[in-house]
Amino acid sequence: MIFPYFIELAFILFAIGLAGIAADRHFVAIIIAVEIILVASLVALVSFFTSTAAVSSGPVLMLISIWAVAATEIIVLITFYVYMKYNGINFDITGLSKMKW
Amino acid sequence: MTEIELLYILISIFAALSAILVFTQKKLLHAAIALTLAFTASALLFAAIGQTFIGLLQLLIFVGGLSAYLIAAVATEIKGVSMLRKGTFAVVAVILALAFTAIALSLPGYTYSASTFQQSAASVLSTDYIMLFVLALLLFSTAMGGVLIIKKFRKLVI
Repeated sequence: MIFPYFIELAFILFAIGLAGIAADRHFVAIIIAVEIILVASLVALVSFFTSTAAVSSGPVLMLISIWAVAATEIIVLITFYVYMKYNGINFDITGLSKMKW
Repeated sequence: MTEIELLYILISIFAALSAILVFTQKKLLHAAIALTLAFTASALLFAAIGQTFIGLLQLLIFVGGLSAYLIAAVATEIKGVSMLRKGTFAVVAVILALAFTAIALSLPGYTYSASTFQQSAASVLSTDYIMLFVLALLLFSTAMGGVLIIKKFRKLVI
């Protein structure tokens, strides 16, 4: 009964990330919460294709896609962080109602 | 409960606690370090279930690359920036975790079997390409040392 442990961990990480998005108002904290959700998806995916003995390229491609999304997200986060910080924009997302500055 | 199941549970608790620590920190730097711990816990988990190659990649990409980059980028933030509504966070996290626990317990159980591809990749990486990994670790250590030195002398430079 190994598979449910990992699914449970993935669900718990997903719950923590979702709660972070729902409860936090800081821009960086919300992006980090999405990172936690991506880690949860990684755990679920790896536990899934570990439980199946067959080797196929599909899960591995999906794994690399998740890594790419996570890496891109960090780059975007740092770009926005630097832009917002040096332009004096508040990191509270409830104040970010404009699409243009 | 066997020893390996106990190991999985300990790593899982470590991962969940690290993820919670991300949102309970007051400073961004500490939150980024907690995120690094969560990434490390997931890499440990992958290694523990036999997917050492994926665990190693997770460690190198997330912990070595992205987290170091994130920490270096947000390390300049020294003010308290916590905007967490703690009550909402606790209520939502507990409700979701309980709901998902019910779903997970209703799933059938399987035993794991690490594929031969992963095992062969791990064995090759630990023998033929070991020098490349040592070089990568040296580069990473040098980069982190550079970040610390730049941070120390930042006031003198800028």
